[in-house]
Amino acid sequence: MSDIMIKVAHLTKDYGHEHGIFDISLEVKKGEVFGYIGTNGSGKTTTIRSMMGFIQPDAGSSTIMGMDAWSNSIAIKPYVSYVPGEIAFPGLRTGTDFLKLQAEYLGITDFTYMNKLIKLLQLDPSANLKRMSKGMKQKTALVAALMGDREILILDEPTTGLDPLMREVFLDLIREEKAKGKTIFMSSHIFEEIEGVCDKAAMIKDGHLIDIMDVHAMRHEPTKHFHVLFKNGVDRDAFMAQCDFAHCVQEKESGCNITVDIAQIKKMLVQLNCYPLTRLSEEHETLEKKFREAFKKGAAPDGK
Amino acid sequence: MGNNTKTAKHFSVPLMKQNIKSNLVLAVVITLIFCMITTVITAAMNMMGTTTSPAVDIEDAQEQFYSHLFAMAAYKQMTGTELSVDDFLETDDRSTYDTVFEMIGSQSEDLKLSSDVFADSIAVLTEADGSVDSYVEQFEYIYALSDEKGVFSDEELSIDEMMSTMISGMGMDADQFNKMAKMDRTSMLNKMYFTVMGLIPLLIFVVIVGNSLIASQVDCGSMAYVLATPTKRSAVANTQAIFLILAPLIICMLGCGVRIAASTVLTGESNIAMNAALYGGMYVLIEAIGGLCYMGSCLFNQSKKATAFGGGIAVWCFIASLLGIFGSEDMVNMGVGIEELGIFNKLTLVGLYDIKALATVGSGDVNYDFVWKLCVLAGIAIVSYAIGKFRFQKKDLPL
Repeated sequence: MSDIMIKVAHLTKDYGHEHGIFDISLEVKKGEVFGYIGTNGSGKTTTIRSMMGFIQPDAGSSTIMGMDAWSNSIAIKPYVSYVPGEIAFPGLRTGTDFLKLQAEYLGITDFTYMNKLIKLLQLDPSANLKRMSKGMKQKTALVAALMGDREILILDEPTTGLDPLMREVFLDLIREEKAKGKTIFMSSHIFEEIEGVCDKAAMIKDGHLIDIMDVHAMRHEPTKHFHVLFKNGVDRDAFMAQCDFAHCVQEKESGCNITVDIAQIKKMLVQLNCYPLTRLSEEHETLEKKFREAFKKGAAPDGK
Repeated sequence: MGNNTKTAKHFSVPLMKQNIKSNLVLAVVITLIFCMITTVITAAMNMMGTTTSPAVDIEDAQEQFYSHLFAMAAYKQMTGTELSVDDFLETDDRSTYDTVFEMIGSQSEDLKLSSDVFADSIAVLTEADGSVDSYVEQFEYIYALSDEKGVFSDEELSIDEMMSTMISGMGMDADQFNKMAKMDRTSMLNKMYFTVMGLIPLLIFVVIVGNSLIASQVDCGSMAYVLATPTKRSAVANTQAIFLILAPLIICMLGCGVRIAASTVLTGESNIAMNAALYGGMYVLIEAIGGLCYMGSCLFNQSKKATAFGGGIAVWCFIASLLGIFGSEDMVNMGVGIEELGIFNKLTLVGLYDIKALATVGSGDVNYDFVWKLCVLAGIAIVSYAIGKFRFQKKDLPL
């Protein structure tokens, strides 16, 4: 078996009026955590539905472990756990009823892992399903999906409704699952959580894939970015002329952006020491920043 | 890990459990209502039955009583001797009466007159009504009306004829009155029960459950928890169809059992074959409508559209059947029906549920008209279930 667990190729689902997804292609390797970012209504859920075999693509395909998600949807199910974006439970009384039934669907007889999850997420499953708060429902849904202990986790906005503390617990859980070698595909519109756990992230806007970024590489970038504000423009020009080991971009006033190799930072600092500075700051490359950049770029050709 | 998980391809046990758990309350309530209506109607029919069956005796007694009064009146015309019921009852010596009855009775072969028969008829009428005075008065009135016609023929002595004479004397349409008197109130109530009242709870059941089995779960998204597990769509479609096929069957069987038990308790006997046929037909009808509800549930992703479809069909069938009752022969004969409304019997699925033909099951002379009608209903059910299942397996689900 190749180590590509999820493969989406030229996936198109047109709902008309420019709704839907168009020509989406991405690959998720075994053991990867793949983030899927996009604004509301950009087509995240549509892509996920197609991966789960709930909708038939107009063109292209989604394959899970080499099996077509639509035509062979039953074959992929034993390998996939799914948390739907919209939480709605069947008409049962309590969370316990629901989880027991779900275990039956999944063919689970050993409840150790389920109980561990319940404890970890501090869930009280004996509560009435209909009266549960949004966070409680989300936790119940997470337990229902994760207890299957499947190789692939497909999570549609799994952190909605969770409080910040619980979100951390959840992200730890994801890291733990990743450590076990699970492949995880999660959508979100919160950059921090994608940044925190994902290896790769894809961005989608209005149904079009804008960019796929290596978040892991971004976290461990070989270069750093600095913003330097010189006291006057003459100093800056002198520095820029002198600095041949780093990439400098002139900014407005007497500012300057420097992109430099980690190994060269000391050298840069020594040189900067010769000039009077007003400010020196490191610019972190955030996913959000990249997203905004890519968003502008992606939007530009269409003139939107 | 995932490889050893069992895959549900044709039927899902957990889903059936889920269906039973989430629909149990509704099913129990519907069953109770259905059984309650059944008991009440059975009791009501039983009460009607007890008042109508001895009426035959009374009719006979009436006819005999009038024949004797006629004999006495004819004797009075011939001889001028006044004879009366009171006198007949008071006197010890009935020889005069014997002679009179024998004399008049000999004029016709059909008239069997004697003091004993007369006394018996008086006894029956007195027991039924307290006294025979009203009968005497009625006779005198009619006799006076027809006096000019001369002598009565014996046909005119039948209750029907006497009533007609009396009713036309009062300026009413005698035919109309006859039809009314002959109308079978029990069958009327039966028709009401099987095509209107008894159907309501079952229709409500199939509409609500039909929607909740598929459309509502797709609409709110809870179906995702089923389909994300190794449960094939065809297994879901089959399981839900089986639930919608079995649940009304159980309710109908319980209703049938209650009906048979109730009539056994109330009358000591019951026609099991006929009741089984009537409830069997009702079940097929409910399945036809339930199948359409299931189909709507599979066709639409939105719960409200599915409800509008299934509920609309059920409400239409129900209202048309109600209007159809007013166009039925019985109602028209009663004078409260409108013949033109009979067309509604052809515009509803309920019209294919031929209770008149079904009620002949178990009797010597079975009317097999119901067979093709029930086959049409069963066909509708099968086709709708098939279309629903096919569509559900192929369509996009917003889960």
